[in-house]
Amino acid sequence: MFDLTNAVENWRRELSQSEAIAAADLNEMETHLREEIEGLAGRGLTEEEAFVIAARRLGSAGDLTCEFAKVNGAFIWQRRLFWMLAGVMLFMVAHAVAGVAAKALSLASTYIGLRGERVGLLESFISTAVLIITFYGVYRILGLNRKTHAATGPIKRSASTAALLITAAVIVFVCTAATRFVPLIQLRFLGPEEVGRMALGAAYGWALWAVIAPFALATILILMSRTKRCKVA
Amino acid sequence: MAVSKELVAASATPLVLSILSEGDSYGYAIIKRVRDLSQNGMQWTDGMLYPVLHRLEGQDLIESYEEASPSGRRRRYYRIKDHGKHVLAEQKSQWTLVHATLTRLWEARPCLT
Repeated sequence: MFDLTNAVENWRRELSQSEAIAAADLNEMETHLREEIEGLAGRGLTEEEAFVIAARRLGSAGDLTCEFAKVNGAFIWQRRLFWMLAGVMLFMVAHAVAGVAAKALSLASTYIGLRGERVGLLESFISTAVLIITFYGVYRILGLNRKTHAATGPIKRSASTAALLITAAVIVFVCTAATRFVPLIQLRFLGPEEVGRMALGAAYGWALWAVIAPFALATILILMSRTKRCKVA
Repeated sequence: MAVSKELVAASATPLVLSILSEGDSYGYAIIKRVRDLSQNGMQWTDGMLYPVLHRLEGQDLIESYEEASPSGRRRRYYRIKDHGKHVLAEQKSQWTLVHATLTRLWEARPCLT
């Protein structure tokens, strides 16, 4: 059985994935869609037939995105900036978690008898690995959600968005504070000589990462970038 | 007969401004008016109208306001502004000139004297 409310909702959800179409645009077009459906239904079409024709007359998501993109430039960049900053936030979270994980492990490794450069090296590798795992995890989660939610869709200032961002801030704060605290313990109990050798080991590890990271990031971005959809008329 | 995409795009501004100069209107009614006047010859993709309206609003040719329809639905109405009327007058003379030129060409009879 055809459900009009459901069909209109789905239609709206599909269009809301477009980065160029704002909520106000969607409201205006939804009113249009509904009036067109009423007009067509008045001529003896079933609700389903009327919906299909009305949606088709309004145009495909791709066409509408291209048309709206011409007038919604500022809006598109506001939205992109939001997601860029969200990316920075994600990086800060991943970085903080990676930092505290590495410090915790290095602290643990000194207890099992590991010393000097090896501890530092281990620290830099753990940190990098946690960073990569976090990003991969987020990527997978977004990939799974993409079917049901707009990954780069409208930004809703809802309670859950705020809660998510505040949680992120707290994680960054706690992890960074803990990361800064661990070296104090190490210096206090292992002495400057030992900590200095650890720093030397870490420096080797980070040097390696500094060589790999820019090229790895560029490769990932190339793989993730998609071809443009808009035809130039 | 369907009008080409380029011509539809080019005529969008004078069409919208002309319809709004008859009185305030909203998206669906504008589309219907174009459809009726052209006897379905001008096939607009309905959604295309809204970016056009927003562009004209950005150019200060028209303004918009929200109002509930008799059935209680919130509609965005558009009203032509003075600047829009000037632009319409300009467009009118341009289109009339193009039309007159083509008509003269197509109606030209061989001169026998």
